[in-house]
Amino acid sequence: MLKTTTESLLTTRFPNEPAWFTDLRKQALQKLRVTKDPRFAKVNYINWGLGELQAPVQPKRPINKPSSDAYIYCSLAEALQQHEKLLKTYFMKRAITDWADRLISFSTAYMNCGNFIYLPANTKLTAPIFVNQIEHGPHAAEVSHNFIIMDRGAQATICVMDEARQPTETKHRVSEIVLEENSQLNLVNIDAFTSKAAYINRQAWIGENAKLTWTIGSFSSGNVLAEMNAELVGRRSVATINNGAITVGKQTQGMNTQVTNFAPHSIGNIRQRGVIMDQSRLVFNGIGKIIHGAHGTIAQQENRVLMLSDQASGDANPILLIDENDVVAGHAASVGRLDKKQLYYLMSRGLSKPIAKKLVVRGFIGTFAKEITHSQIRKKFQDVLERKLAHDN
Amino acid sequence: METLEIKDLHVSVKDDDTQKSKEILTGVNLVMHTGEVHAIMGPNGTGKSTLSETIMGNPHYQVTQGDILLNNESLLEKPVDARARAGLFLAMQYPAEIKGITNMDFLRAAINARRPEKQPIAIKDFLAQLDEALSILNMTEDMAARYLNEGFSGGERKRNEILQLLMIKPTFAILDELDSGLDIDALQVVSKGVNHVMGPNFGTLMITHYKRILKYIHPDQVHVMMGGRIVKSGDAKLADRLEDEGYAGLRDELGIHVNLVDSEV
Repeated sequence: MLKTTTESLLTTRFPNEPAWFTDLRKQALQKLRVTKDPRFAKVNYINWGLGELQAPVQPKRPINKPSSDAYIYCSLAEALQQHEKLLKTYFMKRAITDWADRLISFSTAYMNCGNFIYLPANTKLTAPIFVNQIEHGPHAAEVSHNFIIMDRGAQATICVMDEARQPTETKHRVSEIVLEENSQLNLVNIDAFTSKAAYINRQAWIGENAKLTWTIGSFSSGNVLAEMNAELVGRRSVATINNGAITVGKQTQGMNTQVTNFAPHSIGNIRQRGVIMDQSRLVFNGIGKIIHGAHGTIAQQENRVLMLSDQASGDANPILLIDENDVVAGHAASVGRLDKKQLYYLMSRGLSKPIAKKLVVRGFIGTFAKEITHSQIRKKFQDVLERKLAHDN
Repeated sequence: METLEIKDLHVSVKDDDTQKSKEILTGVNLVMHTGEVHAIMGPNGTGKSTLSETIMGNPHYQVTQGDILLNNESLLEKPVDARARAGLFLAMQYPAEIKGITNMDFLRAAINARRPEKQPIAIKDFLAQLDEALSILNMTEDMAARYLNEGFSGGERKRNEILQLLMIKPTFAILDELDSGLDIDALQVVSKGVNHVMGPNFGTLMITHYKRILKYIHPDQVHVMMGGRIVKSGDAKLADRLEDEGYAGLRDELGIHVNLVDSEV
């Protein structure tokens, strides 16, 4: 496909797309030729069809979202028309700054949809924002770019989830999350993608004194390659990433979850828990990185994997990259099985084997659900978890 | 009235390392009915725990001969969860720790496993029962929210086993060394819990080394096990005699040739 010229290849456009934006697409397309696939240790995704153009799809006309007076919530296409200045400030300027690999280059060049959420300075929302990704045609392969921007001192809870829809071959979803100073965001992603393969790249930039509490339910049914990354750029910034994943059938989920402490006195926490069933595969690469000069920082991580089948395989790889002395860093990792003794004990009280197993899984992953403070979101998280478990039978 | 019957039960255990089978039970016979309290006493290593685990259906133990019957129906082909739903309960010596599952979730799942699928117990009823059971056992509410046996002290575990007994309300309960590792106060509390479920529709089989617990839970029949079978049965007075004479006395009287693991009097 790279034999033809750049110009003729790049047919994806938003309606009335500004020239600077189209230029970004072209730059990304150039990068697409020279960049490599992102590295996911112990995950082989060569044959998943990621970073390949399906039938080219034009973005749908944007539908007006239930925006509020307090904040902006609209489609990316709409934001390009109505909030161009904001986009110019943030689009690949903070959270993502480089087309570092082939998949991010691809996703930028061929982006066909996305959401845009902006909370102005000092906006404090009590009710959560629910984002139901994403409008595009029924059979269109999503290549989306999404924004959540919390301006100074803003506070909000945002839940992003997918309603079940027609499965597509692939899905590419890139998200930029920006927390300006003193802002706070509770972000819950409930992923239940039905596409055969999905590439997820979520990058958060966290400014001074800002706090991100991020919970991800990785309950998709297809193959998933996910990168979750939080950069602690401002002093005393805090990020907690909780990722709960279940794999079933023959699916593979490979997840790189990274927190980087750039600033002094920043605190990073990664907790990942996964359950692997049937013949599936799950890989957690937890990366805690402390940049030189980020003294007085904390970087903790815990990756735990529970295998419920002899034919399943999994990895929990903690990686600590520390370039500073005055820090507290730690990691824990385990790959365990539900042992016979536990199963016998549960069954000795009358629970059938499948129910006993479910109880264990629910307990193992449900820890994260219990920490979601908003009850409606907690319920949604638990419902999708239950659905994924029911799928197991 | 319901009946649990053990008939000429022979049980072997396979050693995980050597893969050799060893016969532990060599022909146990026992009949018990609801409304009765039976105690099995015996020296260490004589097969008491093997008997209780085999009745419950622990797959580690292989029945080579004989039968286990609940109301004249054999349980041998039934897995452990089916036996539990049929009415058996085993308070274990070493209950498993399971992180992530709260006591409360577990109890509800256990109760619902005995109910029709579409009719789970109402939360209100469940909580009322739980409150009552907790207060009988002098347990605080936070016990219900803790993970199943995780980080529990020996005493807490035993209490927790009896809490499950109170909530699940089985027909026959086997209490495997309920008294081991308990101080006197805890023993009284736990016994109180067991006495609470006593009645015409409930039968108990207590496995113990000592007479001590029989002061609080009075047995109708006492059986003595040696060498993998029951060698003598009697009333509560048999326990008094054992306490005085030790197991060696009875062994010599009966002319049984077994080595007692710990006492060669």
